[in-house]
Amino acid sequence: MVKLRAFRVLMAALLPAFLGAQSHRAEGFDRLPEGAVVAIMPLDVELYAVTAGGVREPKAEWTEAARKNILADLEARSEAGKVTFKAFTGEAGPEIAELGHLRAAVSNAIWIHHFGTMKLPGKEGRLDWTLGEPAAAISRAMPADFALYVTLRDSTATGGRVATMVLMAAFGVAAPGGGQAGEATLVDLKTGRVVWYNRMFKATGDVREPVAAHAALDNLLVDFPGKGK
Amino acid sequence: MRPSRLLPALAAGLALWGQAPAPPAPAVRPDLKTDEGGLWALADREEQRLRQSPLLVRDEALRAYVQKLAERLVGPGVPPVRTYVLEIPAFNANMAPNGMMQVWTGLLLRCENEAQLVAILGHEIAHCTLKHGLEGLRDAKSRTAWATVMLAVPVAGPLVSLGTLAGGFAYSRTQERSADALGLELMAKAGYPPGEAAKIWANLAEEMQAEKEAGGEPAKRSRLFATHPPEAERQKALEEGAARLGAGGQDAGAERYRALVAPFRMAWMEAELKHRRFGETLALLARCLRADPRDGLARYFEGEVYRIRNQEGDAAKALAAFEAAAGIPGAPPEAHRALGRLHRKAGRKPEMRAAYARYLELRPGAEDADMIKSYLEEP
Amino acid sequence: MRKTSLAVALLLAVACQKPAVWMGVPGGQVVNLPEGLTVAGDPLWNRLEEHKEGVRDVWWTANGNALDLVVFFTGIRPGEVLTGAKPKEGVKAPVFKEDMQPEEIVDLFDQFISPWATSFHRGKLSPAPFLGGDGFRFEWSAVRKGDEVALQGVGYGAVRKGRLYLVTFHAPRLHYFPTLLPRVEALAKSARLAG
Repeated sequence: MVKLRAFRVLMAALLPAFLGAQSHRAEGFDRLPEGAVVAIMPLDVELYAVTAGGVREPKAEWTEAARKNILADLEARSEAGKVTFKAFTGEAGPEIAELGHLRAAVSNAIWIHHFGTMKLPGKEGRLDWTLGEPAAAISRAMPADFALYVTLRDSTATGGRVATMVLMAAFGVAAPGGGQAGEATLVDLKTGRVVWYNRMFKATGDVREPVAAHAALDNLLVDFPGKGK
Repeated sequence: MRPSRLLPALAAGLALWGQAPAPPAPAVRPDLKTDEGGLWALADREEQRLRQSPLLVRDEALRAYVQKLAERLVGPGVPPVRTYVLEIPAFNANMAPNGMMQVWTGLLLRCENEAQLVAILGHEIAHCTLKHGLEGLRDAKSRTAWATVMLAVPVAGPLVSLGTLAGGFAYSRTQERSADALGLELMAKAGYPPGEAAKIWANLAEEMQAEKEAGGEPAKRSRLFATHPPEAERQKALEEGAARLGAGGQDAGAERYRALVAPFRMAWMEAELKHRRFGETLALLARCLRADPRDGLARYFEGEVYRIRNQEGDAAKALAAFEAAAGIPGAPPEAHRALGRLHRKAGRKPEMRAAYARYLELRPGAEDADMIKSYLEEP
Repeated sequence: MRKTSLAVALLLAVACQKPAVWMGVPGGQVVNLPEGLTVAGDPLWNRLEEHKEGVRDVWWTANGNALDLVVFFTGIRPGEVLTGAKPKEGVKAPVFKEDMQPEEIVDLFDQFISPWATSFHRGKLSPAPFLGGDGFRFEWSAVRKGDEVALQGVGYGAVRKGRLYLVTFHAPRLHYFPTLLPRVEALAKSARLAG
């Protein structure tokens, strides 16, 4: 019999090893295979105007523009013969919707247990999460090898207010005084494995213009496999 | 109709009752650049999510029924209505500016007839017709005190947003009154007795009173109902409004309504019990039993409330209710199971065996059949 | 409301913001849990470190508490809620009673998680060996309120010397529940009561 306490002491000794920079990639996954098709899942993007009083108004026109910009910018990251980014064109039925809910829960778990303070010793510091076999629903709906999920919330203060609170509410974590919050998850559709993940917060940002959208995506896609450093 | 114009009219003795409001402009998709466009787009995305929600009651007959009722009420100036029944045990319904209408099962459980459901639908359609959601947004923008209202809207948990986004904002009392007035007219025009609208609030008031008397805290009504005028005031105004409208149709559609919700009542009542607001639930059940003393399901759940509450004297009340239910044809077979359990605990073996055997006979494929069989095999 | 542990707040929470320390579980050894409960360790799991007087629920996860969660409710006494805490005076919390039958214990569990889960549907309930003797096994499904993830769950329970012992497991029904179920079954099968 082993007392858990002893084990805890052991783990405490090992813990610092896990506290270093956390990898954004799954173990052994460095590049997208040549010719890979990445399905861009329906973008979860909302833009708001925040008035001086803190009222958050949804801006449909801005959101529309941001979606177009982000999608166009992602698709433009395709490289002939190497990797193709393509908007998901399959039917978004209940299967895809449920998978989307699971993806959100998995992404959250990665944020909390991989990048956050609540590390799981059993993971030994690896980015080791999956959507499992159900991820294949996407490649059944559209020919693709990977799926990229992108979430973005962007608040533009119209009255000189920094919309930190809004973003905190959006992600349930403290945003360091940011006006933009984003999350992206890359899933291997053969295995369901999350092969790359990132979440970012930024004090300023505005994705209504293509140039700014490009900068925001550069920021979000840090360490994205196969894109170099 | 802007509240500013409505308010003096109301102050002058509810002169608006019986008067049709000025016909609003026909519903066209607003420009994306406008604040109204923003609300529509948000509601559109919410609706996409709602279509795939695991809480959506996927029963075509029920959905089609509610949809048809709503369609009959929608007039010009309102986008085509699309109804969604959600399995949420709370008294709530709402309609978003884009025509998405939600009806929660906690509300369906509490309507006594079709006319009462129509009254609620009419009320929500009236909010939409009068563009109260948009007024709310504009009001919020001009008054910073409302900031928190806006912050609460879209990105919290899906369930939260389901409840808050559709209407967008808590309506003001003035808005509620004008929606009540228009709703009542819509209902009368569709051929229902308008007197049923007031009964909803009388019933709710009765449940809340019962809960207070039982020492509990009455349900916090959904946010949409939170700023509604007090039930009693509302009931009175609706009664007066109905009297002014004169006799509408005579058929409240009680039979039709009961037949339609019958297959769902068991599940809805079970969800209801989880609130543990025993006073409220007992009042609801008493109302069902007044309408139909042979309502075996209501009798069974009365027993369940007493069993779970378990105050002094409740054990005897539970036994009596289960026994009564077991004697009513069509009552849930679970009444026999409940009796079996009471007999088993009291060591009355023959009675226990008879009750459990009856349960298994009525529900041969019961999920707990193996467990029950093990009780029957006990020496 | 009632006295709850941090873990309770996390039960079905989508994300937990409060700091909590997850510790490894050693494989191939017997692990001691409160109230004399022991199970076979499996390095797949992580255990939430939380020591609070009178609270006797122990939480294990493999991938994070929103993706899979095993909860051991150990030695719950009559009059206590499932965490082992006593409800405050005047609070009508659902408490364990010694004469409860398995289906009433399922009710108790259902009540316990209802703040976080909706659309709770009872599945199969049957007698099953647990703690080396008679017990029961129950299945359920629900929808998590926070993120609308459809969950599946299973539990083993038994009452010994008037005290309730439960091992429950729930996870998203997609992938996580079916994949981890065999490991959970093995865990439940290994559970023993000392003394």
